[in-house]
Amino acid sequence: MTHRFLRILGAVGAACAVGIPSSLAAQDLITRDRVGLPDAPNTMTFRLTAYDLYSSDDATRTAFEELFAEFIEARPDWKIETQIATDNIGQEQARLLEQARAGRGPDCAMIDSSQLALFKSADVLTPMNAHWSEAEIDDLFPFVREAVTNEDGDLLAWWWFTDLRVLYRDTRLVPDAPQTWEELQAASLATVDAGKEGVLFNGGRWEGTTFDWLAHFWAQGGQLVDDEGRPVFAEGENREKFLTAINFYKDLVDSGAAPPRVTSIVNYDDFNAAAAAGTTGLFIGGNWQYGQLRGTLPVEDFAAWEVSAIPGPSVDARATGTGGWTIAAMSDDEDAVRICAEMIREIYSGQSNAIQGLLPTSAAQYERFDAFDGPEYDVFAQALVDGQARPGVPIYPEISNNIQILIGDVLSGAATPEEALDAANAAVQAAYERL
Amino acid sequence: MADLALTDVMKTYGRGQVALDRVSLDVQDREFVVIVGPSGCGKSTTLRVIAGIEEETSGDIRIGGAVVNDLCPGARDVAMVFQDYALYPHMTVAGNIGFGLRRRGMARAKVHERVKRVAEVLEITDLLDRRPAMLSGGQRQRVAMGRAMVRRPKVFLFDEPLSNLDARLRVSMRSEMRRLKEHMPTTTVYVTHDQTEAMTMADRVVVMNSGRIEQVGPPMEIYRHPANLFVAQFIGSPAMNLLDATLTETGAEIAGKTHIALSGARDVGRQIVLGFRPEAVRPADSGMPARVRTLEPIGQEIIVEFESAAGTRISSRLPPDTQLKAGENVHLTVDSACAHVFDPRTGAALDSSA
Amino acid sequence: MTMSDTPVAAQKAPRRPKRARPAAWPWLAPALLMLGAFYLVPILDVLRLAFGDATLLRSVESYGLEGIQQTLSSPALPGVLWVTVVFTAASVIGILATGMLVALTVVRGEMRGLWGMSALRTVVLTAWVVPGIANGLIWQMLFSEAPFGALNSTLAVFGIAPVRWLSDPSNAMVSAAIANVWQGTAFAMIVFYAARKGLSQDLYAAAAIDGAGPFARFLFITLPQMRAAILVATVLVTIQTLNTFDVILALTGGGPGRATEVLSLFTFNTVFYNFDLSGGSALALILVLIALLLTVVYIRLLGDRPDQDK
Repeated sequence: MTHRFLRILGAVGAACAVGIPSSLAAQDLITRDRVGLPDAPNTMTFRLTAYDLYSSDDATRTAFEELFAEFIEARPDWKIETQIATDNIGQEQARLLEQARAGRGPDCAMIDSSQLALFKSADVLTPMNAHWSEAEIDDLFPFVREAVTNEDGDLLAWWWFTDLRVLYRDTRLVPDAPQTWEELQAASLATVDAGKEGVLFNGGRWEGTTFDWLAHFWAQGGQLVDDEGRPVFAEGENREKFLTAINFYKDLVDSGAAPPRVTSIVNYDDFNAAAAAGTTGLFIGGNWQYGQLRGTLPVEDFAAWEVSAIPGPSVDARATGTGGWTIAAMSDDEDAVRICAEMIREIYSGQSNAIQGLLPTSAAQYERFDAFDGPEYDVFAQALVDGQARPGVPIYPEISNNIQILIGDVLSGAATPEEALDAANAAVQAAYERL
Repeated sequence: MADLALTDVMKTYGRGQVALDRVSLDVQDREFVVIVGPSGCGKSTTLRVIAGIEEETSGDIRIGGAVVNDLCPGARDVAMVFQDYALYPHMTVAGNIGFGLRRRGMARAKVHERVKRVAEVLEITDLLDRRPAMLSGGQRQRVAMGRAMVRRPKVFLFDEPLSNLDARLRVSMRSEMRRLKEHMPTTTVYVTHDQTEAMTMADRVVVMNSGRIEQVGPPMEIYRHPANLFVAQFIGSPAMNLLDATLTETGAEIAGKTHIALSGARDVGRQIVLGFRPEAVRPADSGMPARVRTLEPIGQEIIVEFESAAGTRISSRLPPDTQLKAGENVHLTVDSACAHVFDPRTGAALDSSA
Repeated sequence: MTMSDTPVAAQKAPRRPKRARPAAWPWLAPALLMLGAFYLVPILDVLRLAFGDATLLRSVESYGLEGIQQTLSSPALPGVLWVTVVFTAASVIGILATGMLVALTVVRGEMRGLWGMSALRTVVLTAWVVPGIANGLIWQMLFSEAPFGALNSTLAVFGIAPVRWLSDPSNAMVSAAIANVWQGTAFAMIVFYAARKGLSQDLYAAAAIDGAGPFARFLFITLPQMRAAILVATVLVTIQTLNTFDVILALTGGGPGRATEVLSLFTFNTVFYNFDLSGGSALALILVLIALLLTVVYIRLLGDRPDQDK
C-alpha cells in the first residue's frame, strides 16, 4: 500500500524532472536505508542481515557496495529500501513472519534456512519460477532443492549459501581423522592424556547444540518428524537411535573424553578461543570457522589444523547438519519480485559466496569461482553429499529447545537419557497439539 | 556528677581550616556553663568534641578526671540535646526517652519506671505513646530534654536547644530550664548564640570567637569587664559605644575636642579605643557635640542614637520621659567610671579602664 | 524549619471535595488516553490471547479455558516456578544487601572525605547501564570453564580447583543470580543512597550518645528510617527480577537443562520456540499475578506503619 503510493508520487516526480540532467555517480547511491536514488519512481523493500552490504568488515562492505551500485545503476528507475534485521534471529524471523502474514512484510527478505518451512506453510512467499531455469533448480544439492520448492514445483526461495558442521583436529595431537564414534572417543582421550580438554562441542541451551548433535542421530537414519510433520523422534526405531546418539555424548563426558563444561558452551567462538589458547585438540564446529582460524592462529599452528567429516557410528554412516540463508519474495507486485530475483542472481548467488567464502548450494558454482579451490572445500563439498537440513516444520524450534534441555540434563547428570527423552517427547507432543 | 576539663583542644579540618584553636576550659562539678559566640565561632564544635561525635585533632578532654579522648560517645556518659532535637521519628516518646537506657542494658520494667518519672517532671506523661511527628515544637523540646535527663549523665550538653522555638515559648522554656537546673543540678555545657540566654542562665559564660575562647567569667563580670573589644561588642544590647581617642594626663580626648576624665596611670599621647555602654552616656549642657539621629521608645526606656561631629554613631539608654527630637543638636557627657580603654592594635582591655 | 506550637494531630486536614469536579476531565483526558493506548490495550490483548488459541502462525480461532489449563498443567512448569522462586529470592536479597552495603559505604566514605567514593558510585552505576545481554556475555566470559576462563584461572593462581560455574545445574543458578545482582545493585544503591543522604546526621549522633554501637545504629536508626525506601526498592527489584530473562538468555540460555529457566524465559521460549502465543500470554498473566501478589505481601510486611516523619 505505502510503497505503491510512493511509487505514484515518484512517477509524478520523475515526470516533473524530465529534462533535468542528472549524474548517478555524483550522488550517494548507498545509504543506511536505501540503495539507489531517493527519487527513483519504483521501490523494492528488502530485509537483510547486517553481514554483507552493511557488514562491519570494510572489505566485505566495499565489495557489496560495488555490486549493489552496479546493480542499481543498470536500473535507474528503481531504488531498494533496505531494512536491517537484528542479530536475534529467532525473534527477528518470528516478527518477519507476523508482518508478512499481516501483509506488512517487505517485498523481499532474507530468511534463515531453518525457518523457511514456517514461511512456506504460512503461504506468504511468492513463486519465482520465471526467473530460474529447470536445469538450474535441478543442479541444487538435494536437501536444498527439497527445501526451496513446494509440491507443485514452485520455487519459493533461493537458498544462496549453506554451511555444515565438521570435525576440526590438531594433527600434531590427532594425526589421522577419526572416522567413527569409537575412534573419536579414543582420539579425544589421547588428547586428554596430552593435557588437553578433550573434544569440544556445543552442549548448552542454544540451537547450535541440537544442530551439532543431530548429525549423530541422522547418521543412524533417525527422523525427527514423519512426512506429515508429526514429531516421531521418541517412537519405534527412532527412539533407539535417539538414545544411542545421546548415550554417545554421555559416554564422551562420563569417560572424560569431553569436559563437563560442554553443557555451558553456547557459542562456536568458544572453540576458536580454545584452539587459539592451545587447550584443545578436537572440536566439532562450523565450516566458516576454518577461515576464522586462519585469521586467528599463527601460521604454523594453523597449518596443523585440519577438517574432516563428523564421525558416525560406523565409517559409512555419516551425516552433517546444514544451514545457511535463503532469500524469498513476498510481494504481489511482479516487478518487485523480478527485481528481487535479479538481485539474488546478480549479487548473492555465486558472487557473494565467493566474496565471503560462503558455501554455494550447487555443485556447478564450486567450479565457477576460484575462491573455492582450497583443499578444505573438497572436504566440505564431499560432506555436503551427506548434508541434512533441519526438518522444515513449525514444530522444529520446540523440538530443538527440548533436545537442548535434554542434552543439558543428561550431560550434567540431572536425568537419565530415558527420563529426559520421555520428558522432551511429552513437551513436544503437547506443543504440537497446540500448534 | 563530675567536673569537665578541656586542655589545649585543637580541631582542624582537611585544608588547614582551624575550627578550635587551643581551647582550654574547666567546668566545675554541677556548674552551668554557657558558651556564646557568633555562628561559626566553634561553640558547637566544642560541644560535639566533648560528646565524642567529632574527634579532636589534639588536646585532652577529661570527665571526672579521666581522659575520655578515646572513648566512643556512648561510653562518655554525657547526654546531649540537639538544636533540631534529633528525636527518633519511628519511636514513641517513651521509646525515645528510654532508648539510651535500653541500649545500656537496663531491664524493661526499670526503664519504664525511670521514663515515667522523668515524664512527670517534664509534664509530658500523656504524650508517652505518641510519635514525634504528632508533637508541637515545645513538646518535642521537652522530650529531647527528657531523653537527656533520664540517663542521669555526668555531663549535660545543650546545642542551641531553644533556637527553634518562637520568642514567647523561648522565654517560658528559659525559666523552665532554670527550674530543672535547680531540680537536678548537673555539670552542664550550654551552647547558644543568644546572649540573653547566656546572661540569664549561666553560672559562668564563655565567649568564643574564631575557634578561640575570648573570655570566661560570671555573666555580670563579662558585662562589666570585657577582656577585649570582641567581648565588649558582642555582649550587651545595644552594643558598647567605641570611639577612637588619645590619652591625656587626666583622661582621654576624643577627636581633639571632648575630654573625658579617667583615673589611673597612663601613657600620655597613646592612641586608644574608648568604650562606654549606652547607659553611661547622656545629654548634658556641655561635652561632645552630637545630633539626634533616631529615637526608639521601648516602654521602660528610650534607645537614642546620636551622631557625633566626626560621624560616629553613639547609642544611649535614656529614661522614657526624655524630651528629644530627631535632628536636634545636643552635647553628650560620659560617666567616666564606666568607661573602658582598649588597645586599638590587639583589642585587649587596658588596665587604666578600671 | 519552623514549628508552630499547635499539635499537628490536632489540626484538621483540609477537607477534600468528595468527587472530582467535572472541569478536571478535559485535563485528565490526554493522560488517560495515553495510558489506555499504551498500557491498557496491550494488557487487554494479553488477556484476550490467554483465553484464545492463537499461535505466532495464526490468530485466535476459538476462545476457552483449554489453553490456560494446558499451560498450567505443563510438566515443566513446577520446575520453572521453583527456579524462578530461587532466582528471584537470591537476586532480591543479594541486590538489596549489596545495594545497602555499597550505599552505606559510599555515604560513610563521603562523610570521612575518603577519596574514590564518587568513582565507586560511578563504577556501580556503569553496571546498571550495561544492557542485560551484554551483562550476560561479560559474566559468561568471567565464568568460562575453559582452562583460560577468567575466574577459574584466577582461582588457579591461589591453588583452588576450577569451579563448574555454568555447567553444574546448581552452580549455574548461583552464577546467574550473581550476574543479576551485579547489574541490579546499582538501582538499590541509588534508592538507598538517596534515602540515607536524607537522614539527619544528628539522629546518628543522638543514638551514638545514647550508647548505640554501629550495628545498633543500623538496626534502630538506618533500617526503620529507610523503611519506605526499602519497600520501594524491594517491590521494584522483585518485579524487575521476575521480568529478567536477557541476562540468563545470554549467560546460560536457561541451561544446563532447565536449571536456570525462569518463568519469563519460559514465557519467551513458549512464544518464540513453540510459537504458542496464547500459552505465552497465559504465562505472562501468571507473571503479572505473582508480581501483584508479592507487592501486596511486601506492603503488608514493610508498609503498615502509618505515621512516618517523612
